[in-house]
Amino acid sequence: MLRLLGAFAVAILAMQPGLAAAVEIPPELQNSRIGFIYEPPRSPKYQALYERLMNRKVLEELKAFLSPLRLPRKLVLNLRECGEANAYYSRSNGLVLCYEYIDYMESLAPKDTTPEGFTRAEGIAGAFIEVTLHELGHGVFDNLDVPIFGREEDAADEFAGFLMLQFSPDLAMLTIKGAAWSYLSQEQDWKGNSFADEHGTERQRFYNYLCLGYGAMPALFQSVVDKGLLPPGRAGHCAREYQQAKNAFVQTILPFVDQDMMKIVQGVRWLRPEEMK
Amino acid sequence: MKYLAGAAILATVLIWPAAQEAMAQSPIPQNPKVKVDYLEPREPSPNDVKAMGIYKQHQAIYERMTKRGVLEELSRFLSPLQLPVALRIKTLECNTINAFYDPQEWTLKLCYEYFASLENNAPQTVDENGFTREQAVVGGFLAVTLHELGHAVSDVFNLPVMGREEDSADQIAAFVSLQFGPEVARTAISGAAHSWLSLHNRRGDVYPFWDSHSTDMQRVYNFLCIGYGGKPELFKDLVEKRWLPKARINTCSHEYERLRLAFRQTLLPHIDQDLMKRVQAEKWLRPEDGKW
Repeated sequence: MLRLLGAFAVAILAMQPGLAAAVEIPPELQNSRIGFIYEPPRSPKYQALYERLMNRKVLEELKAFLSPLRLPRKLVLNLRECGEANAYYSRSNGLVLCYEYIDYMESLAPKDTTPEGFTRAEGIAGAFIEVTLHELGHGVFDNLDVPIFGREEDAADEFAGFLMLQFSPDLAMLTIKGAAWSYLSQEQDWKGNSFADEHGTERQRFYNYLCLGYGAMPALFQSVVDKGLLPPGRAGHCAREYQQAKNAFVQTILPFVDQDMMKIVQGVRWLRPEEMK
Repeated sequence: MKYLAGAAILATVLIWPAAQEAMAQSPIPQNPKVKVDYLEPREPSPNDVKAMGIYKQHQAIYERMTKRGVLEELSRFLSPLQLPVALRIKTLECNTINAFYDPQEWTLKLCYEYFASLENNAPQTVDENGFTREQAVVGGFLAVTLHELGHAVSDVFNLPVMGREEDSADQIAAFVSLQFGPEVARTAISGAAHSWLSLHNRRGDVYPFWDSHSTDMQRVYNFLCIGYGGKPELFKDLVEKRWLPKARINTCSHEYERLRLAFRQTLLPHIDQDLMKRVQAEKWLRPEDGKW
């Protein structure tokens, strides 16, 4: 029976293209200001997801990824069942990623590569990384008192997008396209005073991410322009937009980043090969 | 001793009003780093009736602006700003309804076409939303000029703009509008709301989401939210009864505070505080402004 269960677990892990076993984290990547909690879900529905994320050591990895940040206040990373599909940052709770929201995003991921070229891995791993980095953006702005010009929601997207582009080309592609897919697949109907929302529309956020990617690595993201996902009227501004995000990052956040640890972070392959495909 | 102190107080009281008057009389200087220029509209061939009509309107605007000394006033308004480079502000014909900041030339280019459009879309007296002609014309001018100045200061001070620059320029315009008393605040914020509302009404429900600008209505809401966040009493009527849904109203004071924090960290060190107090005490708008 135990053996059967074990085999079953292996089969499930193998079936999940998204989050399987953990990657190796260098021991230097420590930060006592960052904590994490996997809260067991009340609903049996999220039990498998909870276990998968825990086995994958998602929060350990996220903590290591953030370890170069010199944070004046403690930051806790939480996975929990919230009663709604959501993800947020608050000063009292820290980062909160809800099982409901991760489950929802995974349900939106394409089964096969879409005609526009969005892959299942982008829809699962990329979209998860986007929401995590976006909410962490809010957390970092708050923790470091970062001066923000422009809307904070867009700034959090640019924070996320900028980070996505500091690693390997395949990770850049997976995460930027994953972010774009996430907003495309969650698009709402905007009318009347729904435009008063503090967030941009999903389409605007879709274009913002693709534009940052194209601005940073034009050759790599040329396909999104060729496929008409990013119109030429916007594409021409993207190099400047990326430079502006970089300039803001360098001025406001980089002074709080430990450079030696950052080099180690940049050397880690954060996703397993099968999670990229 | 008591007598002496009394005499000193008396002397102070006597001198004080005179000193105050002298201060009030010494005019706020123009910013030596802000160079202003009005380019004359070009006269078309007399046979071109349509172009002649446009020219006449531009010429009238040009004459009113030079007579009022609008750009010189703007330079005085900007006197506390310690610019690292000379900033030029020009009014000119552009053949398009727009206003620009040109980073190559460190120049604000404000087009007569844009001002003509503000006038053409302004109500005769007051519109159904309660926006007045003065707010539409003068406030519209302030909004677009401060928006382009927002681009200029981001450029010359190399501001860390983490969000979208177009929204940042709107935020800078809105924030600046709120620092000079209720009249300037109400005029400029209402002018901004009127400008983009009227643009939205002309464009209809077409949303270029790919654009680096927010949609016209998003800009209306953003201006009103910052106005309300900074001066809730002054914008209560517009915001609570009319424009913003509750969910957004709740975030406005946070949005304003974020902006204030960003200003304090980046731009405040470049502002001469003594001059700023004088600029804040000055009455910038005249009753006749916009009533043409």
